[in-house]
Amino acid sequence: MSNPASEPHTPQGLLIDTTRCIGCGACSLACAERNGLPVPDTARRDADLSDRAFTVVRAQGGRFVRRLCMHCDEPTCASVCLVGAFRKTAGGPVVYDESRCIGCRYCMQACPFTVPRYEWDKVLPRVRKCDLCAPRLAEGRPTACAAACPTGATRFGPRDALLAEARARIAAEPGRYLPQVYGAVEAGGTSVLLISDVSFAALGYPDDLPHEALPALTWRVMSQVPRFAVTAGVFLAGVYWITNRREEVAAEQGRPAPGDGPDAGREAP
Amino acid sequence: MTATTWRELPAAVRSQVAVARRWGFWGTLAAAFVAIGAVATVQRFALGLGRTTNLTDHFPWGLWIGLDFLGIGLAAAGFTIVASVHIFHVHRFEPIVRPALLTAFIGYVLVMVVLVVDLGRPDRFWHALFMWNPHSVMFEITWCLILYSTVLAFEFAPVALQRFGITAPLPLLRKIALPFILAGVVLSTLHQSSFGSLYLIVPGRLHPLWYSPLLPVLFFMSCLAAGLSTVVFLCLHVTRYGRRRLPVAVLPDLAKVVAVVLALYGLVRLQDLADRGVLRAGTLGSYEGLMFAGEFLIGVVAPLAVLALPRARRQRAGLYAASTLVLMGFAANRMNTVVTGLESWPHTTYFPSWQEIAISLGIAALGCTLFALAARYFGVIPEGADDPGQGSAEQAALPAGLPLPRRRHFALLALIPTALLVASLYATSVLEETAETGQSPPPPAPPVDLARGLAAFEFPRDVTFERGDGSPGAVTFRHLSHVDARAPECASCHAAGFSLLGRERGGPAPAAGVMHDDRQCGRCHDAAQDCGFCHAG
Repeated sequence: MSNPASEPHTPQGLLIDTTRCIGCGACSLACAERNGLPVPDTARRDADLSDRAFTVVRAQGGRFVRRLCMHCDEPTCASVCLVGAFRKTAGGPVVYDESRCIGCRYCMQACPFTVPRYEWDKVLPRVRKCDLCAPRLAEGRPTACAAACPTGATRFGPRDALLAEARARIAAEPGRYLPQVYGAVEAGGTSVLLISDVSFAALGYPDDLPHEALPALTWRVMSQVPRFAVTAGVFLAGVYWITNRREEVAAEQGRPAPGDGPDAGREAP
Repeated sequence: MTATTWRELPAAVRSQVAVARRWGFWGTLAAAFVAIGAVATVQRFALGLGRTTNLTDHFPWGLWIGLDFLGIGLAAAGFTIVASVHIFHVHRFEPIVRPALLTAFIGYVLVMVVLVVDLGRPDRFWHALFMWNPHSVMFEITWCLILYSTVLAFEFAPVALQRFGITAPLPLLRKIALPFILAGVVLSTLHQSSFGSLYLIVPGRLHPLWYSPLLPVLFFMSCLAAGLSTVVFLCLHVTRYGRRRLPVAVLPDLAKVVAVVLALYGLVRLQDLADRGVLRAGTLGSYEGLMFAGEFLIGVVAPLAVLALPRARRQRAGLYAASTLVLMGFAANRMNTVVTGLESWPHTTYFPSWQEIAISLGIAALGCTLFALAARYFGVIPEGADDPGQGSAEQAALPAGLPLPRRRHFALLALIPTALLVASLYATSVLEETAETGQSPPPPAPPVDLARGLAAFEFPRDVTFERGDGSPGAVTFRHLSHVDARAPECASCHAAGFSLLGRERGGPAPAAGVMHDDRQCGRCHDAAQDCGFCHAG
């Protein structure tokens, strides 16, 4: 974990321009090198993310397209993690603290981009994923993948600047790009942005994500919990008091208690 | 008091042996399941999840999560019956309180066991207690599980203490009972519903037949019917020889409640699907639609049809059939939510490994055995004779001693796993078919457009290594002279040992001879040839 004091204060990000990618695989090689992962087979065009590959270049929809953690502005993984092992840092990366993880895999179940991977082969596994080179960012250096890209298909920079650049590129060559910056609003916005000339669905990216951050969907319910608990507690205590009192009164008057009759008291919830 | 316990024990053991001989089939079956489950559990901990389950990165939750949902749902009677008796003062259900509490307690303890088995890092389960994230539904569930299990232990404590002849703490327990009862009901309501909330965050992944903003409400409503049906089923099972019996009207009354709750649940479920426009022919004709139809017909329509007949409600066979149907439908609903609904995206199939199945069956068998043993040991359901206050005419209407023909009984039970198995196998085959046919017409993909990328291709800047001691001169590496600019392939060299990240450094000379080595420049350049070719600086 990097020292928070040295993290960049403005959110950094990546801009991936699929029209510029030549599929050389330098990004995945650099990523493997920086993370100490096995050398990937860059000739494979259908590789998937794994616990040993935090980014891959796939040939999909007639283009080369990268897959990697999108580093959501409001990450689903961080929201669902029971022990708070995921954290969105001010500088952009969503980082994972393996010392907290208990391996419930809710992050993998919930991630809208199906990014987190598990070390299934190990007896004591970890979740693995791209960390946007958080330690390099803390040193003021770009991500390994962006530094290695020879065509500028992956650019590193402040997210705001990259978003502006993406829009400028689309505006400059409207025929070349679809008029959409993927990640600007998807799932509430992500630090990794993509522009393309073919549909993102064809590239294997989910195109039906809400524009609202997904954690809001659960928080809407979760935030009601304390209020519900208090209300329900008071209500039930009241019901108890009333029914109990009725029995006491009935006992004093020598009548059978209301709840004992054959048809009395249709059932509780 | 210990003396009496010890004196009684042999008698209890003796009676158990006698009964075990009569229960031979079920006892043997349960023992076999528990044994195989134990073997599988040892394997799971020794070899890890990957080698003992069919879980994958695309299907990280499987049968065990479904089992958790089932166990908790079936344990729901604990709070419903306690609430109706102790809060709403519906005294008719008093005889059911103990079996319901016992069911709930065993259910919760076993679910926690399954959770620990399912955790990737079971050694760190205690992290959940100390590392908090109140935004996580799992956080709420964990705390409700722990707190409610504690409450259940307190609620069941008087029964256990009485059995051991310890009466001193009973008045105190009675005095502090109300807060525990209230807390138990609130906690249960909260986390029964939050098992549904777990999936609120995956709108894109879970099929719309099971994803709904109403998931917490639907999970809560369905657990009420399932929990009560569990008690009905277990009570029928325990009383099937007539040695133990319940007041006659209890189970039919309970069945009426099941019918009402089930009907309400069915209405809300259909209304919700209709509101969201899911009830279309296209959806219902799909594989998911079939699974939903099965779940709904078995778990809601069929038991309602049975329970609508007053005669069926008063017959053991009718009650057996209705409660079994509700439980099957409930199991199907939870398994559909956990497995079927998630198979369409990302396109993948899941069928549990034998270890996953063995551990699940072992846990289920353990639960049933614990219930049977505890029910007998703690006198949870009283022995036959003491059945005061019930008319003998009613007795005749529902002779508790009349066991259902055992073969039919067995057939009903066997239906559950069989139906699940067939459904899953069917699911797998159908999905594989669609996977094959679905992939056959690939969209005409435009050719990979390298030209645009190549137009942007820039050779990385030259890397200069300074002149070292005894070296003829500095060496400058130029990508330009090493790479074919019309088809640049970074991986052909960088994968072979030339660092991609190191190029940022360059600079000082490496140690003498390093670059002549055949892992570096020496692989292609012959150090014995013209020095000036490389050492040009």
